[in-house]
Amino acid sequence: MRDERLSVMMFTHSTVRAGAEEYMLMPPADWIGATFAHTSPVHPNWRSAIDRTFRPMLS
Amino acid sequence: MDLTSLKQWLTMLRFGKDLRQRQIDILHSHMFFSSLLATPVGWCSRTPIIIEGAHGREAWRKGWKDHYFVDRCIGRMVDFYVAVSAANAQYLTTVKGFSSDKITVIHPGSDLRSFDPDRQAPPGLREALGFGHADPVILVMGRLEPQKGHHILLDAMPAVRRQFPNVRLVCAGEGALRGELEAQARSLGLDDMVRFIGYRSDIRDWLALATFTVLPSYWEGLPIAPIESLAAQRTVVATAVDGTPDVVVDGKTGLTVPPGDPVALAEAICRVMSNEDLRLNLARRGRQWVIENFSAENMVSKTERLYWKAWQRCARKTQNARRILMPSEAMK
Repeated sequence: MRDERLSVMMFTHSTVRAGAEEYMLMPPADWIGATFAHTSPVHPNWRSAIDRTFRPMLS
Repeated sequence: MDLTSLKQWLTMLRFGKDLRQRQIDILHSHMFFSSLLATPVGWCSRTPIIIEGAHGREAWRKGWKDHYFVDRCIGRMVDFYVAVSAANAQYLTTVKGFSSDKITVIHPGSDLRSFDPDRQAPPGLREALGFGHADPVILVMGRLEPQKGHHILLDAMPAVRRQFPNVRLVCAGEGALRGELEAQARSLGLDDMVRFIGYRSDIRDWLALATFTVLPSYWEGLPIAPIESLAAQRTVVATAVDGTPDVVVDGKTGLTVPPGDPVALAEAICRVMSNEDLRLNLARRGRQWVIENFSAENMVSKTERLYWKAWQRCARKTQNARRILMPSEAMK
C-alpha cells in the first residue's frame, strides 16, 4: 500500500561539479519521502550526506 | 552527458521504469544537462510534477549553443523552475523565455551554524605559510578555473602591495589553471606573498586566518564562498555578477566591482584594508544578512512550500484524492 508521504525524486547528472548538494544538508520533512538519483560518480564529500538524507537509486 | 552511449540510454530507460514503479510525485532535477535527460523521461513516465533547478547563467552557451529551442521545447513539460537568485530568474524569463509564473527564487542554503566569527586559526598556520603575526591575509576560495578570475586578482595585487607591503594572499582551491597562475604570480614578483594551498576541507580554519575574502569571478550562479565568508564574519570584495550581489550587497555586506577590472578590484581591496571600521561593519552586517537569508533551514522551508504548492495544484488538476499529511507549520 502506498504511504501518505509526497514522493520526491532528486536527480542530478553530475554530482562531481554541482547540483543538488545543498539539498543534502538537511533531511526533508516527515511528509516528504525523497530519493536521490544520479548518473555519474558521487563526490566523496557528499556520499555520507546522500546516504543519510536520501534513498540512493542509481549509480 | 553522452547521448551516443548505449549505457546512458539504458540508464534513462531504467530511470523511467523506476519513476513509474516508485510512483514518484515530484521529479526535481538540477542544471541543464540533468534536466535535458530527466524532464522528458519524467514526462513520458507521467510523473505528476516536474521541477527544474537552474543554478545560474549558462555561460558556456556561445556560438551555435546560444539558442534555446531545446530548452523551450522541454520547458513545456516543466511545471516549476527554481532559480538560485533574482538575476537567475531574470535570465530564465528574458533569455530563455520562460513564464515568470513558473519561476520561484530559492537561494541555496548552507549550514552556517558551524561558522564561528571568533574561531582562531590553528596554532602555527601563519608560520607554516611564512606569514608574519600581523600580516593581513586575503583569502580567495574557488576552483582555479577561468570562470573564477584569479588572474585578475593577481593583476590587482601589485597595486595593493604598493600601499600595503605586508599583505598576503591565500588561494584555496584546485584546478586546471594552477600552473599558469603560479607562473603569473612569479612573473609579477608576488611569489613571496601568494600561497596556493589546493583543495581544503578545513575552510573554517582558513577563514579564521583571513582578514577578508575576495571573489573575482566572471560569472556565478549563487556563490557559496561569500556566504561562508560572511557567516564567519569576514567581509567580501566581489565582482557584481549574476547572483553574487544577492549575497555581497555593495556598501552593506561587502564591496562589489565590475568583472575583469584589476584597477577597480585593487581600489576596493585597498579601501577595505585601509578602513578597519568599514571592514568590521560590513562583516557584522554581512553575517546577519546571510544568517537571515542563506541558511539551510531557509532553503529547505522554501523548497517544502514549493513542493506543497505544486502538489496542491496537481491534486486539483488531476482530482487526485490521495492525502498528504503535511505539518501545519510548513504551510505558513
